[in-house]
Amino acid sequence: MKTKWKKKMEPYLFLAPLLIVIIVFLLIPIIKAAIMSFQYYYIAKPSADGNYFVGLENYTKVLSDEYFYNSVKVTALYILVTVLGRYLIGFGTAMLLNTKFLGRGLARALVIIPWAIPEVVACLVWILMYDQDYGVINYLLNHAGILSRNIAYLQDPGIALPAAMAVNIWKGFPFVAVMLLAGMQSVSSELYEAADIDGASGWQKMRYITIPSIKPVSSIVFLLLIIWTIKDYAIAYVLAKGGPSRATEILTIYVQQTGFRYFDFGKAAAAGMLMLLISLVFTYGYFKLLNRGEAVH
Amino acid sequence: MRESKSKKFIVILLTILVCIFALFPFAWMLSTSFKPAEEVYSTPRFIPENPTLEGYTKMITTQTSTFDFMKWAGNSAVVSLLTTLFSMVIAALGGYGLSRFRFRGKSTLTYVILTTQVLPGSLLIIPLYIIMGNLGILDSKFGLVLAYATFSVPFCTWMMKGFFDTIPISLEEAATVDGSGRLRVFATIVLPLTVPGLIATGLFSFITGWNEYLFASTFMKSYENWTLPMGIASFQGQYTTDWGTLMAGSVLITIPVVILFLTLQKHLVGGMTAGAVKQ
Repeated sequence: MKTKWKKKMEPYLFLAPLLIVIIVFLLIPIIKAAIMSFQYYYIAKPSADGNYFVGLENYTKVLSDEYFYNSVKVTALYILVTVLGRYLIGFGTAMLLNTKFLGRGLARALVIIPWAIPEVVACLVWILMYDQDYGVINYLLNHAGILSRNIAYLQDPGIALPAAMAVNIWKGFPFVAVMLLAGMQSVSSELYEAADIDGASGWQKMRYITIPSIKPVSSIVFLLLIIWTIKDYAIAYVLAKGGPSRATEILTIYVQQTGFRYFDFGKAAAAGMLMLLISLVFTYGYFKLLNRGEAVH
Repeated sequence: MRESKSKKFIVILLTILVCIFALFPFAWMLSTSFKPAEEVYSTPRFIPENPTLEGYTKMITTQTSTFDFMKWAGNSAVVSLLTTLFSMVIAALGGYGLSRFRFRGKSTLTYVILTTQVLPGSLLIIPLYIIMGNLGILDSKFGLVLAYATFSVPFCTWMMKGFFDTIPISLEEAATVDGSGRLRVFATIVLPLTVPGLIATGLFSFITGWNEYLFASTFMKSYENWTLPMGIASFQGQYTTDWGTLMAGSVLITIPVVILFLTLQKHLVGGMTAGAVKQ
């Protein structure tokens, strides 16, 4: 009897620590955030009645805030451009590194360095390189004849967002390259040999062998890129503090600033919950797409 | 595969371009870290005219009421190592449980773990700030490690599950028939086979702790509890002039992570593909 009970409890012995972490550090905080989003939680002006319930007031405050819509727009653009940029450069790099040539091992090691550099440090170097007067980027572009004046990349509202995107793409493409390369290397070389015998062109081999073979890795990489970018904070914040004129204020910065700069935790929680909703809808749709793709094959 | 010579030339040329793109900022960081201040504020040159180690000595030895690089380095090391230890133990046990057992609520748990990947840190910091404040662990290294567990544990568990899935179950069955307890079988037979997985999760959680900025900058109020990313970021606002010193500090922060990455990258990639692709 005793051993049978012991056997039944076995899974929970292994899973208990994980369950505790998930419940204490994830479920409880999320529930707490959900409750806060319906409460008066303005830290700068505490009410005598405590954190009383205000219904949907926090949500209406967020939804009537033009800066919220601005941050949604900035986030969408930021995700679209950086995910595509990282994917395309990463894919190209993986294709290059999947070809045999002398020094390939060295190139593989060097290419992953941006991934390894801490975000904050990476931003500091780029701030220096983007400097209007002494930055190396202005210097090089002026000497190459591409620019005829110095640009203030991070201070110009029209350029700050693309400048932040460039840093994000630079930092993120090695991850894509390394993952796709791992996928490409698991493709049997016999497939390519057979294609060679049939006289297939390089383009055809890529279109009909490489791309279908790396589809599972590709899908996961895409998913991870999107959900990581929704959560991204440090690059846009350290580079430009969300500015100038909120040009780089992605949703995460909007939520964090509403809470910890303007001290309206209720409104921040409401905005955060909306953000979570957007990413959940997105993830759900993506999983659906993935499953459908698998059903076809 | 036969490749024509010109094609190979183009491949190598493009690879060199990609490598320059990838490496240039790092190289520029290194170069600037050896420049005296007046060289930073003149025409940019790659090789410093009068190279100096002043930036490094200044970064390491300066101790003021709001600046202490070595203290922050110590904090970062403690926080990263504890995050690693914590995540690895829980992820190894949990990943094994998810991989081997059938139990009620398994699919729900799997779904919850996947969903945690989507939770934005900027949403979590709001309730965590209040909860940690009530528990009195705001502005403490211990509290920061627990906060890092929120994203490091689920991801590491998922990676470990992928690794356990690749180990044939028959190995354990033989040992269980012998009468060894499950935990013992796990520790003596299964775990040694997943060393690459443990390295991958360890590397992932160490780097998470070492690089993280949002949680650290929100929770850690007093400067003596700061970690390196916060410390170095504060330096940029305060002393905008001293780029040589700032870059010297940046090099010091980056070197440990780059070394870890270069030596262990195979395991990390293996871990991510094993955990992420096989569902």
